[in-house]
Amino acid sequence: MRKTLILGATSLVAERAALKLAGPGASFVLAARDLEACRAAAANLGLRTGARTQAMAFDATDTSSHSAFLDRVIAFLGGLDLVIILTGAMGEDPASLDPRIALPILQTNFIGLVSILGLVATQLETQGHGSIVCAGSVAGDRGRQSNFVYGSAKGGLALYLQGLRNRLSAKGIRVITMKFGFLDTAMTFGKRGIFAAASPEAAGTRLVNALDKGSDIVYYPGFWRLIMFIIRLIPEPIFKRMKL
Amino acid sequence: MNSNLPFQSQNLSGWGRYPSLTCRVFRPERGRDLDALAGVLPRGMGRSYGDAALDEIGGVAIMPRMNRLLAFDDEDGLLEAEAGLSLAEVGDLFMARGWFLPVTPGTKFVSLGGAIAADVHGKNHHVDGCLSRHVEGLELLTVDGNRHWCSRTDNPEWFLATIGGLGLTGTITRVKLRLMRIPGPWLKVQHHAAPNLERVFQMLSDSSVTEPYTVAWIDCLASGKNLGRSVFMTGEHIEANRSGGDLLLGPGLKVPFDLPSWILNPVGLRAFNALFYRLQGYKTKPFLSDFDSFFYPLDKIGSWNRIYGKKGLIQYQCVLPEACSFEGMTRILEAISAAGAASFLAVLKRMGDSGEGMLSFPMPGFTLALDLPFRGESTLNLTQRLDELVLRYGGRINLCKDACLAPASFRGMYPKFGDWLRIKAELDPKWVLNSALARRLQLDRGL
Repeated sequence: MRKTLILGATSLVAERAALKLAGPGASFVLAARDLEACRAAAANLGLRTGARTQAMAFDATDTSSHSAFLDRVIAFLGGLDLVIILTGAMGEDPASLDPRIALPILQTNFIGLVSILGLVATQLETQGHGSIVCAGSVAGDRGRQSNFVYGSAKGGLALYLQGLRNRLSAKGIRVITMKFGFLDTAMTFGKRGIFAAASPEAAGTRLVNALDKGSDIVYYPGFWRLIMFIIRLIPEPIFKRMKL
Repeated sequence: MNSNLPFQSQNLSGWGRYPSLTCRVFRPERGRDLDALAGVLPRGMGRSYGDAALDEIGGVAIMPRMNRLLAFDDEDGLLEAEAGLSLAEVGDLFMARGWFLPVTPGTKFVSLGGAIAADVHGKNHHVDGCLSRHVEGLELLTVDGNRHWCSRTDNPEWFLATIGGLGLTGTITRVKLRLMRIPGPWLKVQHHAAPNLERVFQMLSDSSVTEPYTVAWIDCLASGKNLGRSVFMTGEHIEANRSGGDLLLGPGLKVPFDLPSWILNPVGLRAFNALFYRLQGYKTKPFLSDFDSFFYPLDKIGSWNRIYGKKGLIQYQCVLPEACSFEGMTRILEAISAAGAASFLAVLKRMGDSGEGMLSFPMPGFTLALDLPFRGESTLNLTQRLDELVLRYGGRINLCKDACLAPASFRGMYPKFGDWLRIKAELDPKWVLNSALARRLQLDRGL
């Protein structure tokens, strides 16, 4: 049965996706910074589905720990078939010019993931099978004044994943980029300008379905593909004067 | 209060849809979100009827996403879970493993935390007590942001102030509840017609009835010699399958009764109640029922509270002590019948021991619960008359259903309020944690 590592496992989308994937015989490592919340998620997953679960602490920004972390994960799971990465955070100001605020956003959303993704890809490439699902964001599709620091990290990540997909496809290893629009989570709850927020359950289900289908880049909710297509088409001389 | 957590302003009410207040709503998703919400009134699934889970000033924290299972011991049935877990989920997840809630109220859409804060009871109260009797302990997040394990041995006074404490001592974040072994999802159910109040009291008091679940559906529109006309029902868990062996699956008892909404007018209601009495009361043979149909008949109708329209309803539930129950209930039913105020069948039930909580509702005696469609002043006048009767007979009103009780009447009904206040002063001397109910009953003004 499938051996799965989930990073950012305390996000509701991760919890719901894990519930969809799990069953007796499956095993999971649920990892995130908040170890206590990971433990609750792991206990819940195990009790509801009969899956074997383990909580571990994972800090994307602590890149020196990543190699030893992955060793522990593989030791617990006895292999590695699927890696789902849903870490990420907007930070206190996703468009800050203050390096003290901007750089940590890059650390969390891009640099830290380049670190762990490289290690994971090496493992999967060596063993010759496996899948990676990683959360990008529609914020990474075009630089906007409201969130371009966060957006540039997500955009960089999307390019990285694209290249990784290109490299690994020959080996039959899938790399799926999930681009989420608004989801009904604590990040959006009660905020202005949020529309058609999808439930984390539905997002988790979509993520799992993407594994079964052949998709490479998945927008969810799906209409965001169209919105972002249009936004990307706007010529820069016009776009630079828009307030988005 | 504090909190950088995002919130939404929502028009909120209890299940009775009266009163309705605009509250800030917080929605924690994990443990550390809760830390930021210490001092905000917790709200489970909004199934208390009145104003217990409303706070138009401090806001409320809703708990549907705090629903993780944390541990389960398959030997002794001890379940540990986050307090937002619903009884429905407990039933769904554990029925197949041979476990069920030892006590369940009439709806499964209730959170564990809410059930404890309201100290809910069920059809087996006279033998098994409240749900809280089966709670080994709970974690209480107090206003100061600390978490405390509370049980009958750890912080016992805080435990007893929190059971039935309507969320006012802090947020119940985690619960350890002992589930009950059952042979399967089936119950053997029997109905008996009781033509009047005297007869139904006899049936409810009959000590030769061995079934743990007993309840009577009473026709509050009946009067005169029919006053108190009821269907007395008993149930017990049995080992069975759908074919049922000797028992037949009760026809039409997938849902014990269907409730079309056109029936909500005086003539229709009277006819419906009379028909129910005939059809259900004269089922002479025991039959098989699944647990959902037996315990949660109204849940199948979905938002049944909406059939009372925008004005909503008052669910009036009182308990009277054993000795004067019959006389008192007669007076109460006469008053309701005379006002023509009741709608559907009401529930009459015998209660066992007093609840452990300082503000627990149950006491040995009989409890009556019924819906009163809210009609403004006339309804408030009726509940006030009923409250006076309840007080005179030494009974009390169930606070998690109440929306009308006056501060003085409350003080006459809850003799342990002084103890509770002392604990409240220890845990939250400044009354940071408040609710619309607490303001209405002027709980902060003391005795």
